[in-house]
Amino acid sequence: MSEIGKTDNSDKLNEIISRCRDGDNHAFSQLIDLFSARCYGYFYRLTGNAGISDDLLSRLFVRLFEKIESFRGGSFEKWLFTVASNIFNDYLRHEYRQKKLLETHAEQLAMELPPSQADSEMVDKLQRQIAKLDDETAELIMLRFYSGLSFKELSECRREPIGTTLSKVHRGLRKLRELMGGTDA
Amino acid sequence: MPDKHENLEQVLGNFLDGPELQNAIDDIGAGDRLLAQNPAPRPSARLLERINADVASALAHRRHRRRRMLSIGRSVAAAAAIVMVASMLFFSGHVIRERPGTHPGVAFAARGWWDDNAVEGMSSAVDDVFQTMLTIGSHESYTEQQIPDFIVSGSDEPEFIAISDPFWKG
Repeated sequence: MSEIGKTDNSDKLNEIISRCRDGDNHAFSQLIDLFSARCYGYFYRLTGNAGISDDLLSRLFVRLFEKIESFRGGSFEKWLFTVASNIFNDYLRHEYRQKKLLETHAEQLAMELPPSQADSEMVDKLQRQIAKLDDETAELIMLRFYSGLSFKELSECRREPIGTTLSKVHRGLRKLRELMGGTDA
Repeated sequence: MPDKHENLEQVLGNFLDGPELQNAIDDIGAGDRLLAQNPAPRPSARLLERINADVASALAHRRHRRRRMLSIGRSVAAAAAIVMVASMLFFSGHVIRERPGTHPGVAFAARGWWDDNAVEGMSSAVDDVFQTMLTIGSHESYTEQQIPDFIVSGSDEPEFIAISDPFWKG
């Protein structure tokens, strides 16, 4: 995962962000290199689909490019993953609408639809178990894991009490561990 | 891989204690290890190239747009400056023409135009006005033919005749 984002690299990160604000193309490339793997992992674990993750990652960096001037300091990871979370939730809402639409026209479309990408894609065991968690819990666990945010920052992102966040993450991780067979691997 | 050097015992200790606290710490730690041991795929090099190209293109577009906005801004500023100067000149002239009682210098003073040329111009304008008033008062500029009738004829003439009559000397 990322080698940056730790406190001791914050000066370097601030410098890159500052250059991004000035429209430095190279700085944007650096930002993409630094965060793409973590953000991609976040999207992939939530969607289980490489194509959708590609699309969401592209959207994230385009939005990052558009909004970088609105970043007012503080934790960049918190800001970045809040944007990522919004993009994922937009995607979920869109999927939900699509699903409803498809249900409405299921009979007509059943013959025409190609098989779902997710179905045809090789997914690892962890991915299958994550899919069994409810959306909110899965998103919270992945947000915490890939963003590296503390529970306090996470609760601020989610606008909920820290105790609620702790409880959801704890229950979610315990359930995931049980689904995986109770082992660490 | 949450890595905020977060002290789970301290954070969870605000809500749990005893064996529950230890179980929660173990569960979260084990869950984190589980995720770390099953890494998600990384984005492909092609995807990153595409994103970089998209961003570079958007950046170029933004620069172009900013240059255009700057150019438009300059044009608007120049037009505004011309309109301001024109309106100032208009109002300066307007003050002199429409409000003769107003000292012409007021218009200049209000705009801070007290350079040497302005002072000189205004002084000569004042002199001209003063001379004109004197001329009108003394009718010096009128020739005999140009003297208006009301001065040389009409009701004032009998008055002169009456005064020249010596009857009043007694």
